Amino acid sequence: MMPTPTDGLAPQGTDEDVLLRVRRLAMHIVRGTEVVHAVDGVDLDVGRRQIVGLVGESGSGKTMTCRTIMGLLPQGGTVSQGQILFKGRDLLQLPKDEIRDIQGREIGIIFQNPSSFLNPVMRIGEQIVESVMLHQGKTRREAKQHVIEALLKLGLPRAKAVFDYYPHQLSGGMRQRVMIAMAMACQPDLLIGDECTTELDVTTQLQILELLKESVVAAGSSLLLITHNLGVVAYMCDTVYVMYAGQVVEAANVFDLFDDPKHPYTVGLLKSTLSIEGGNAELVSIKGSVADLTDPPAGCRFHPRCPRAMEQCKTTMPGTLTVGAQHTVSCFLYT
Amino acid sequence: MKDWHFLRQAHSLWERFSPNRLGVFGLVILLFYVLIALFANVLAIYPPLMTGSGPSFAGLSAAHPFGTDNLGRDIFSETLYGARATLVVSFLAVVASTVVGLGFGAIAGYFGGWVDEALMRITEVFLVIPAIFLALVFVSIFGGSAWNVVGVIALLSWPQMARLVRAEFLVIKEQTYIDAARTSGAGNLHVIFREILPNAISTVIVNVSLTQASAILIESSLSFLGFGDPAVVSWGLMLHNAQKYFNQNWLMAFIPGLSIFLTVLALNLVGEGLAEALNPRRNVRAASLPR
Amino acid sequence: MRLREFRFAALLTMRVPYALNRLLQAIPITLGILIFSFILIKLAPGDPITMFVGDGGASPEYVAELTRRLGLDRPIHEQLTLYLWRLLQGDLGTSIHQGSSVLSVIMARAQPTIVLMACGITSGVIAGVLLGVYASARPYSRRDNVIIVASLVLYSLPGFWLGQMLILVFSVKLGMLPAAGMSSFVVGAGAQWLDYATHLVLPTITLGAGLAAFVMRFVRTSMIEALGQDYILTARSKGLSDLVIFYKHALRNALLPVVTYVGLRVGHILSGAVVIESVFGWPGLGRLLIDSLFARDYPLIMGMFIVVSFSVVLVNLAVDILYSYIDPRIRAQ
Repeated sequence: MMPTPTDGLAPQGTDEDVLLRVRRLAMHIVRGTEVVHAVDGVDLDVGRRQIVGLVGESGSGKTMTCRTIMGLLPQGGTVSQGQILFKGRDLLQLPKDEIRDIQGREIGIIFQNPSSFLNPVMRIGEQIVESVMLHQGKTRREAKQHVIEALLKLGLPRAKAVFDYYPHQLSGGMRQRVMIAMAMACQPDLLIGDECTTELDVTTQLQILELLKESVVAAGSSLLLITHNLGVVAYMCDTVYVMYAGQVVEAANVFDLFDDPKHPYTVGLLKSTLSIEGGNAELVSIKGSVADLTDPPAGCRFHPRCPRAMEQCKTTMPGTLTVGAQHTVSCFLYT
Repeated sequence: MKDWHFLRQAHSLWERFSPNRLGVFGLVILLFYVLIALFANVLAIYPPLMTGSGPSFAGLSAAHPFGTDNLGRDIFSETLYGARATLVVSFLAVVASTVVGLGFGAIAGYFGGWVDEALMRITEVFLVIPAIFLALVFVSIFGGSAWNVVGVIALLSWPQMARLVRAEFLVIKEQTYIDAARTSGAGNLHVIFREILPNAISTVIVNVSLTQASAILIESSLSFLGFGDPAVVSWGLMLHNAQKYFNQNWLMAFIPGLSIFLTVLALNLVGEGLAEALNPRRNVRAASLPR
Repeated sequence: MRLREFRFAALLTMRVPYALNRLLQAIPITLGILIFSFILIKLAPGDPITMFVGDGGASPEYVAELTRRLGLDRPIHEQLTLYLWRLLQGDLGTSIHQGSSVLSVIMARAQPTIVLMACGITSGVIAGVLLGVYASARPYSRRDNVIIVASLVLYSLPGFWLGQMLILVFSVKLGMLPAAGMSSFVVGAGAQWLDYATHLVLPTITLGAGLAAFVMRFVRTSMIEALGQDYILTARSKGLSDLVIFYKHALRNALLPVVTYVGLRVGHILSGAVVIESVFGWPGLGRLLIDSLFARDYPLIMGMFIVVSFSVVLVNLAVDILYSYIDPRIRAQ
């Protein structure tokens, strides 16, 4: 079958059905005299009730992509091109107050490190309630009730007492549950998890992931999960996007990705993960180091580290090609 | 060899200092007043404290650019001579306090232990007592001669310098090159003076400038309250005299006070400029709210 | 309900060790101050009796009595012990020129100074916080630079000169506000309050200006740091408005160290108050000090020295304990 250039991975349907449709998104950050091309042409789809994984090493642009979707650009950051269609509306064209309306109410984000991402001098109940009161117009009493119920469901049995606690009085796992409660407080349609279990120990990680999956399914929301851990991806996700140096290099449903990875980077990632897990004598890793986003290599960004690089990889950027029913890749090997 | 090194360091310091416009501005004002102090006897029209050089509260004229005060003294000349007292007294006090502070701070920071503890207690006592109170009590007991004023200002300033030096020593002491020097047989004195001190110098220099600014404020406050040396022309004393005569010649209060303000400002600007030049901290830009 | 009360009581008793600890730390400093003042008295040139009795001369019986009481004929360490013992009993001696005990004289004149300092500190802190927050919203922008320069200028202004200039402009030239003293002669309670307030304005501004300069810089730095923290990103992600993020999330964190900082500056503010009371003829402790210095009323001078220094120690202690209450991270330890 001849691979054809394609326009994304999502199930066919109108823009309304697809919850989030990101096209050709590019964002760069200006720091003094340096320009960091953090996100450089990303296409991404999240359907309703889907759990989508976004995988890559640190510096791949996955966090920045999500922050851009969320409207949380860093100091010096500008979106240079693209569209972020959320429920049919382009978020990049919306005025500030409408974005604020969406933030928290329709899209929620769970951050990585609950210790530094919670305000240390505010009680945790207050930090969740303010979102509910703002977006759902409830009174403080109603909001408090709502929040306590949510905390109970998230596995904090002494929710009423915990409501008045300060963040430092809680354990890491409890704090992460609070972060989840905060992000889901207004039942957003899209939840973004930015490496939200990375800082936890392994047992807690599993608990939190299960909890997250349950909550998301129960609420009928979608989840965009950012991680560098392929194990998490295998456990949680329906579809996966693999990012490298600010671009999406491969996208597939989870089974296809693990059974039949196409892009050399994905292959490398899988091999190195499995080598750790499988307890091999030798650790397999991808040679070289992550591309420098201030001065990325010409052509395919991965070519300096790619075991199968060809001449044209060094000069031209490969487009996105469909290689399966729900499988796209960005590599000259498949043309 | 040593001199070359020093010159090169001074030059590189200037390179880092000069872009700071405020700092350079302060330096210019400072130099202006230093020149005035040096050449007061050339620039002034009348000798210091000369009463009756003109009628009391004379208007502005070529002979009296700022008019005269209640006893007919020329304000312009008095201001010029006042620069001497202010700058000399404060400078001497700063030198004394720096020497003492360096000494105590170095010893405390280097040797640690009970010596350090004792020093901390002593400096705490000084830092708690309000400066003016201590200065006034001192001056009232021992008299307000110029030397006593130098002494009391030094007494007030040395604790802060000592603390700063001690803190620097505590940090630098832990660096590996100190260990290297010690294991190669360097004695304590050598380590203190040749290894640690040169690295602590930058903080000391910054503090010298700032200490002198506060020294000038203390000196002029003392004179203003009437406890300085009445035989010496000083800006504070001029302000003390001016209290009753705002209606007659407000320049009596304005000019000397402006001079105090400008010299203090100049020293603070230079101090801040030096601090920036020696320890740049502008590289971290916080993520404030987006525009 | 009962659990809550129990927790409150437990919290209170848990605080006690910390407070006690700080109290114990304050003792050596106080001792240091007292010993220092003893040294000062001993170093003073001249006859110690004259220091206590003044130049007016006194009967030989009184001199003998005083010699015995002060232990001037005894070795120095005994004198020191006697001195400390007297102080502990609150006996600061008798004022030469006022006749009554030093402590009572000080207490009588303390109120105007306390009022002035309270107003000065309040206005200085409020102005400093507002301007510091304003500057931190757009760091390194033009308005930020203006504010930084303004704080440098204010900080360099001699307090007495600022006071004089304010009097010049507002009293002498414009006649809007009174020049000196605490009150003019007016009739009626309402008019008296207003009169008191107008007399307070200029001294308060003069005293608050220097403090505002410090607080401004400090708050600015503190806010910029707070705004760079991760939890601000969380707040933004919830769609909160800029105002809420600034004042509810960032400021709360930024203001904590300001409390401690202002506490540390109390000594300096007190120094400033002495000078300002002289400029404005404000009848408080500062004026008392100046008058007693000119009158060579040594018991009063040393008494004020001790009382004021000790007050600063107490204030620092109080601020420390207060801080442990308002910072939730320390509070719930």
